[in-house]
Amino acid sequence: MKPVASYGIVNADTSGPGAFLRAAKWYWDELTDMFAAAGFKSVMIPMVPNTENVSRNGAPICTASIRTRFGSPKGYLEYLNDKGIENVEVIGVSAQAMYNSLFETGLSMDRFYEGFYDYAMDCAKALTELGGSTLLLSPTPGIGFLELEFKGDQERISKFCCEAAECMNKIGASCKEIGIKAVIRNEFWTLMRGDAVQDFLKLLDAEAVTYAPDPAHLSIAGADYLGIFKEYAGQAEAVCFTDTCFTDEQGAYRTISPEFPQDGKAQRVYWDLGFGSMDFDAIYRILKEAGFDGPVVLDSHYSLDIPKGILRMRTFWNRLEKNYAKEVR
Amino acid sequence: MESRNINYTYMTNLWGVINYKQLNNFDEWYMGDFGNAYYYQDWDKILRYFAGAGFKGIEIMVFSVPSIRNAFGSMKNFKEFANERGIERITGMFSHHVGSQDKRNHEAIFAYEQQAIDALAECDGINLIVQPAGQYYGTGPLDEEGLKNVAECMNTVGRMCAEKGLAVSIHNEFWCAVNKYDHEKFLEMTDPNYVYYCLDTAQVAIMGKDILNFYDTYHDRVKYFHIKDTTYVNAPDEKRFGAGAEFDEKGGRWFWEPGGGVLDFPGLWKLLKKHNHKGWVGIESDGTPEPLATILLTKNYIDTVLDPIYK
Repeated sequence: MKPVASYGIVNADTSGPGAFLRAAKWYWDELTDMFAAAGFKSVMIPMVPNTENVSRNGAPICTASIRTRFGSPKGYLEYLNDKGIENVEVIGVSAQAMYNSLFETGLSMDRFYEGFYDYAMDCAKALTELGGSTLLLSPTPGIGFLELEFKGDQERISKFCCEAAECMNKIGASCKEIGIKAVIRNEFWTLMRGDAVQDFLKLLDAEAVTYAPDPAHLSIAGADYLGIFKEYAGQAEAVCFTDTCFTDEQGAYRTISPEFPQDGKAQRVYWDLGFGSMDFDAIYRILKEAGFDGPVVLDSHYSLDIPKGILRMRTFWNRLEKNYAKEVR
Repeated sequence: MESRNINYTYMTNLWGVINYKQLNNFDEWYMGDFGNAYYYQDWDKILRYFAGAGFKGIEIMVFSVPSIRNAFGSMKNFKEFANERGIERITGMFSHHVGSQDKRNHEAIFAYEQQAIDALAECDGINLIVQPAGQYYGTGPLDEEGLKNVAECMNTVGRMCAEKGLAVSIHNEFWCAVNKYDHEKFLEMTDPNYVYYCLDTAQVAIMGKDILNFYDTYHDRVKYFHIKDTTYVNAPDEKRFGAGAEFDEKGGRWFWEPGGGVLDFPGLWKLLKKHNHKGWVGIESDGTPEPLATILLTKNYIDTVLDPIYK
């Protein structure tokens, strides 16, 4: 298994002292150094679509920003190598990020998946230059956004879900041609949340697109995450590790603010790896027993203290390996 | 209530993107991390910080509209929430006209701005503050036709604002495609009946303009302000025209709270008095690493330096 440290540890859209500075290149220079210092060799970047506002800043979270600051993805890889990071193993592309950009780009929902395909393939091509293997796709925007957009028209939402599947297959086929693996993830707030992913997977070409389970998202959606890991470990090309102890008692998943629940006492969704309640020892065992040898995206999502979060991530991974070694001895 | 010619409003972008309306459980954000995240993530506390420091108004960024709607359901709800916490007015919203030098982009800009105008009107705002074009890098310098298109775009948005009882004002960043060599010319190309000017003191000084001279000359057009200081006046072209110039690659700080840099704010306030300026004056402190300290230092500067000159 290959631990891949996710830049998703940074919430670029958050508030607090210095939050504004997360758009500056020096911030990401330091972050890269910190990942390398913690012993990570590969990273995952959640990319957003290219918009003027994101492209002009120094955060390497869209291809336009990388091209502006480093000349090309290849130039960015040279920069990473110099800092001790060997490659960008995984790039994440998200339909929610795409949806969020519509306000700025003016793209209509009728052309949503046309735009999503272009965004995904732009990232996939960059990935080939970044020495990566896997494009991690989040297929739909949040349920709450779609309910609002389509005014609760379930027929239209189902049609949108089919369009998502078509688009994933098209991306999968195109990725195959350039040697990139296309995998999907199912966040707890998307149309294929929890067990619904099983139906969605039936619409996909298994030769072109596989499933990367994530315990936190499955658990929040009420699914048996260990059962799903057992079912898919043998065929997964990548998996995601996110931690949580959030219980979605207020139904945040169907709101337009699922990752930032506005009501109730439980408003924090993500915890640093090892600080939530997911049973990663069991997951690690399942993956080992299935012979899984792909990238494990370690995502201490939206950590409240990023330097500490990176070190915690290393401690988390060391412990997992140590615990498993003890178990099999 | 104290009679004042000017009141102060604070642009909220120094905080970043505020995702929560109100956090309800301190322990959830503290236990295990033992940090200060609880204090900086919700509108409830951030609005109370501004009001507690004596500011009566706030401005918001157009990019915050989706997250505000997510948290509050509507801009009107947001306004009421702010009022309850001592903020009397959401005075302005910042927006931008990327691509306005090309007429083919105007329809999309108008559609985008209509959303911004509607959102601002819904929270009873006053002024849409607009970066007139994209960044200089990759866009500038603008030729005559390009500059004319940028001005026409601004004029149309000005008329759209007027239909909703709002004003539009030019906010000229030091890294904008409209820059030092077009600055006054561009202002004069816009329609004075619909387009005003928001003087961002640091941006314009970094661009290489004498802010006192500019205000004295164009006070009829300068109806709004973004007050911020800088230590870096008259930056060379290569600094302003580079990729992503707003964020210095090495972390150098462009902007400071008033009094933290070298700009002559007492001189500017004497001119405000001379021209009998009335209304809201905006403070902007983007790039500060410590928002609360900056807010309090700003208020102290207003109380001790600016108010004695003109208030």
